[in-house]
Amino acid sequence: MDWLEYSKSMSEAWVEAQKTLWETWVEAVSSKPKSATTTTKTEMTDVWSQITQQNLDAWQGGAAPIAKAATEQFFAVQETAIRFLEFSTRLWEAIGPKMQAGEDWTSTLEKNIEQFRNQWIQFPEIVTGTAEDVDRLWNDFLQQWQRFGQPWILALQRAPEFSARIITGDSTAYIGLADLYRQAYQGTFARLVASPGLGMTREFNEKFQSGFDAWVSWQLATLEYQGVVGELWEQAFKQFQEDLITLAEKDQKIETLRDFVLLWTRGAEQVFTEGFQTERYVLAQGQMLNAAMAYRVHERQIIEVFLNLYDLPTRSELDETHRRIYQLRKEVKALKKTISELKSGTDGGKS
Amino acid sequence: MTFPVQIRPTDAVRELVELTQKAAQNLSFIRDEDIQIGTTPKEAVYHEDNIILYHYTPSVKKPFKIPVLIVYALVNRPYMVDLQESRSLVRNLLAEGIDVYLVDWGYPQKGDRWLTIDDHVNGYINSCVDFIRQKHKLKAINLLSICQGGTLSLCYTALHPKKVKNLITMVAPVDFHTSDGMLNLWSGCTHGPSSMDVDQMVDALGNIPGDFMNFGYLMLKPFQLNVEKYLGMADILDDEAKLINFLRMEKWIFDSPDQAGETFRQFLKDFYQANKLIKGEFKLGGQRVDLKKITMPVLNLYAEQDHLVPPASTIALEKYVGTDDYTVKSFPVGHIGMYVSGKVQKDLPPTIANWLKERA
Repeated sequence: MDWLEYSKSMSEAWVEAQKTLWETWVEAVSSKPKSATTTTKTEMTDVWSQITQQNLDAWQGGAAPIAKAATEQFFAVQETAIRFLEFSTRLWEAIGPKMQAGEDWTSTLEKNIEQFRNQWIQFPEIVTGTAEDVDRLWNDFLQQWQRFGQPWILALQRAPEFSARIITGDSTAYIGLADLYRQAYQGTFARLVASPGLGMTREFNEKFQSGFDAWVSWQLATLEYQGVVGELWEQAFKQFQEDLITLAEKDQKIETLRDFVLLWTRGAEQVFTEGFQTERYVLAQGQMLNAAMAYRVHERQIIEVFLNLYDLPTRSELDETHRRIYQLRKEVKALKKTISELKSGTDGGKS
Repeated sequence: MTFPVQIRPTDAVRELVELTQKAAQNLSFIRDEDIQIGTTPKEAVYHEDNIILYHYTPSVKKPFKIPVLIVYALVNRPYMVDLQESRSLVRNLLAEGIDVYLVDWGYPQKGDRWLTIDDHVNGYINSCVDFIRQKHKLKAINLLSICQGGTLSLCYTALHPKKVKNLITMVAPVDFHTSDGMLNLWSGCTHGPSSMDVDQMVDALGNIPGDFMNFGYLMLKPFQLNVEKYLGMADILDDEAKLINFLRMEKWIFDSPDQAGETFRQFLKDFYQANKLIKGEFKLGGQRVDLKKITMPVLNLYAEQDHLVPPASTIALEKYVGTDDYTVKSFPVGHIGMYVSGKVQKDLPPTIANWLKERA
């Protein structure tokens, strides 16, 4: 797990969540199929995207990286604004005729809540824990590891087939299983003659299985967390509708895109900052974080099996080396200080 | 009742296109060297491992006799106190006649994972204080401690009271169990390891990545810090000076050093989760940190709208220190506003300088 990548993907998930929220609502209020909405949306977004791309292409090579990063974020916010604009257009299309006919347009807004809930806060199917889910998860997990040692992964993927035959009394399966690991061994560490193949395999299997369990726990905790966050999105969505209705009751208008975006973000900010302080959120976030860290520990243990076989230093060994250097450095500092005090005959500034 | 959203799509698109072009045009010509930070003249006077002690060049002929050592937080970079020339806390303190030193913690590397709070307090801070004391032939100097640096300085002052003439704490967390701090909650002030299993985190990551810390800070105000801030950029695209100041702040925000693993472990567990500082249970180098031993004058400064260190967390200090000379002063800004607000930079430096003059 690359933490930089993980943080980045979390940030992107938030941006994506916002985009999806609006698309979902647009579809709901316009009562149009997704393809129709997407087509119109694309027309507007395309114009903006082309101009943005042209501007980024013309970017000066020597420009400050932080200036470019800020501009990219500025463009990203504008993309959100564009979507808001598209949303308002659709909303207007959906509500305008009702208003002209003197019908109640607020009920059109209200009915979206149910659709939003259905699309956003679904009970994760993973929780059902069917065999099929576990198989899928196992394969997802294995795919993540392929870059570290594909031959071993292939062996593990095929291992259940031999195990099943062993259980049913097919003794030739032992040979097949052994051959499977031998092939993996040949394909990776064959030159390390002293490597205890069977012992390594057993150790590796145990660590890999524990890693899988930790990975599943992390996935579940993430889903649980997303469920809690999804409810906050729903509350923010409701808040926005209430704010719109309040404005309408006061006969106040929103005439700029910026004011429209701010109406959304300020209401949402309040909902999220209150939600973030609830016990439920704090525990869901903690569970996800702790599960991620537990998996990270297992991940390292698995990687270190490979590194040991290649006779490469591991993170644990480096940590231990760093710890010894740290202790030695402290001892040297203390000795230098003592020598200095003895030479100067002072108390070394002791208070 | 009419629908309140009345935006003409064509007008809005035109406006956005113009903004996009202007943003690319104005920002693409800004070079790294245009975004100058920490420009107040200074000299590196002491090095130890990754840390550097800087001495700022006095801007008056006869500065105060007793210098001030600024101890900043380990999270984020200390150049926040000298971010832009026109609103620099350091520059303004120098103009008030104060002789200023600053400890720069640097960027912890993987090899620094084992550094503890004891190493920072009884090691680095003590080394810097001793260096300044020896250079100026003084028994004690003044400390200006900021944010997390305030907590560290409280520990230092309690353990080495004779070396500190006056203690100034600024937006410093003291009571970590106040209910109004989201950071406190997320760090486990109510649910401990169920909110954050710090042991497991340090075991898993070693040093705690700055990006992880930053993500957490941005999530404290997700829409304001990720959307509204950039929406506001549109207002300053024509003003190069303001644009560069904005980028200075961006640079500082995303310049997050990793946190030494063992220091992070101890800080989160002992302070955020167990609140040991005010309970008198925190120990460093085998000694108990007793805040009652802080008997020198204390000036406690806090931000009224601080979302990182809640005012209640800072104000609590009065109950635990042993001094009879305690002053508290607030400013109507947030945590960051203490450094960059024009009004605060007009009021804060003279507040500090006058308080010190009266206790020289």
